[in-house]
Order: sequence, then structure tokens, then C-alpha cells
Amino acid sequence: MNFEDHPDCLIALNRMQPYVDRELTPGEMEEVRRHLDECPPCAKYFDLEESFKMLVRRNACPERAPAGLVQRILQNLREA
Amino acid sequence: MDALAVAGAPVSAGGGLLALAYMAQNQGPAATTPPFDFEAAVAEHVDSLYRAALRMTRKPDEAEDLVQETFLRAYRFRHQFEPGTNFRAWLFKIQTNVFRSRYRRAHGAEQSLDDTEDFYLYQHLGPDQPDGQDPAAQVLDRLGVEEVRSAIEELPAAYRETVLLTDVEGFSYRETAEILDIPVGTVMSRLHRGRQRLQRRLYDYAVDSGLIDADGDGKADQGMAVQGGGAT
Repeated sequence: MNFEDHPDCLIALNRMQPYVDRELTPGEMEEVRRHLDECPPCAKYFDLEESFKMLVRRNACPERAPAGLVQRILQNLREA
Repeated sequence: MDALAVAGAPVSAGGGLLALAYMAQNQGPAATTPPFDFEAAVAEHVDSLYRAALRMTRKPDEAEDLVQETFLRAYRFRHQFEPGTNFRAWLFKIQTNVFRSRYRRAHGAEQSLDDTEDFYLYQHLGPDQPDGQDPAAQVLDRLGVEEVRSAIEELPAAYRETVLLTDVEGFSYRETAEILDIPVGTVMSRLHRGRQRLQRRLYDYAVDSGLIDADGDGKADQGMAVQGGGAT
């Protein structure tokens, strides 16, 4: 389908980024959600964007600071 | 390590000195230092500051150095922290400033921030797959830690720091804008462009490593063309 012919889809797509980032107002979130419920192509599109955001988060997140860094920092602070 | 716990007690090496430094600060009438001890703050925030530093500097020793400098400055300027505001965001703002002053050249002389096409993954992996097949989701599942981290590190610094703060560290647009000292609108556009670039890069990885066929491009014409130049 071509989203250009569907004003509702365009409105939703313009809100995709703040939607996946949970930056819309509750009312706006609800409007988008209602559109996604009745528009599988848009829903799929939004799913992909959400999955992508999760992918970035999941893979960059669990990293820990090297052992010893905390002690080095505290040592610096004691000497400060 | 509770600052109050050492009050009046013999101070051993370690936490005691820092805790006492706090108490001394907090005894004044204009006690503006955060009401917690710094050791706990270091323990709590060191991992997230380090991983952000590592993505920004791309080098473990430089990342360690950056984080050490960040905490040192935070400690020295702790009286400038406004109680009731977000301490974690404050630390990230300090780290951002240290990074920018040290890597000014790398940060200023950006590669040209050319736009990539919008909705890259969707364009190339398409919706409308038969039999519930979902190549896009499969590709995302198969991409590994290394691919994602390299792709992030290849982003221009201005996009990289924005994506890290929002997507990885979970800061809001407003907090990210505050940390980076840029308008919220700029956060949104950098985030958008940064993600598009990441998607393009990860798509290329997936093609190069055989996760998907390069002729997956053919599916683009089943996709959409919000930005024009695509399907009709």
C-alpha cells in the first residue's frame, strides 16, 4: 500500500519517533494506538522501529566498568 | 558507606574521608551538596558513564580516563548541583563537556552529516511477507553485540551522543537536550538521523554476513514511499 494516499497513516507516521520514545501526550499516544489497531501495515512499521530501538538498547546496555575503576576514582577523590 | 554512619566514629581509610567531606559541607547553612555520599554515587553510576564513554572514545583506556575526570569534576563542583534535580543527568552533562573539550577536533570537524533515506529497514526488508515470515525481525534477532556496538561507534559524534543518551541510557528528549545543551528539536532530528544511519549500517552488516540476500532490495518496491523516490 502507499501511505501517501492515507492521511491517517501519514499523521501516525509523523508521530512514530516520539511514539516509540514515549514522548507524546497520553491523548496523542492513544490516538496513534487507535490507528495502529485498525491499520496492520502501520502497526508492522511501528513494531519494526520499536524492535530496532530495543536492539540498540539491549546490545549497548549490559556493559560494566572494568574492575578497579571504582577504586581508582575513589582514590582520585581522596587526593582531590 | 552512609555518610551519617561515620559521624563521631573513628574514621578508617576509605569512605570515611569522603563522607566527612560531605558532612562538613552539609553543616553550613547554605548546604547545597547532594544529601548522599559520593562513594555510593560512584558505585551507582560508574557503569553507565563508562559504557557511554567507551562508545564515545572507542578506546577502553581513554574511556576510563574520561570517567575518572568526570567524577573528579563532579566532586569538585558538587556544590553546584541543584538538589532535587537529576543527579545522573548532571553527571552525564559533566562527562559530555569533558569529552567535548578533549575531543573538540573530532567533535567539531564532523564528517558531513548527509541524510540517509528515511525508513531504511522498512524500505529494504518490506512488510507484506508471505506465511508470517518476518525477515526484518529475524535479521534484528541475529545481529550481535559487536555489530551493534561498531555501528554505534561509526556514527558521527553528534548523532552518537544523542542516540546513546536516549536509546541506551533512557533519558527523555528534554533531559538529553539539557545534557547536550541543544534544543529539543535538535535532539529529535539528530536522533532520527542517527537511527536511520544505524539502520543502514546494520542492514549492510546483515547483507555482508549473509543474514539476508542483497536482492532483498527488491522488496523495497512493496514498501512505501513517504519520502518519495520509492514505490509508486
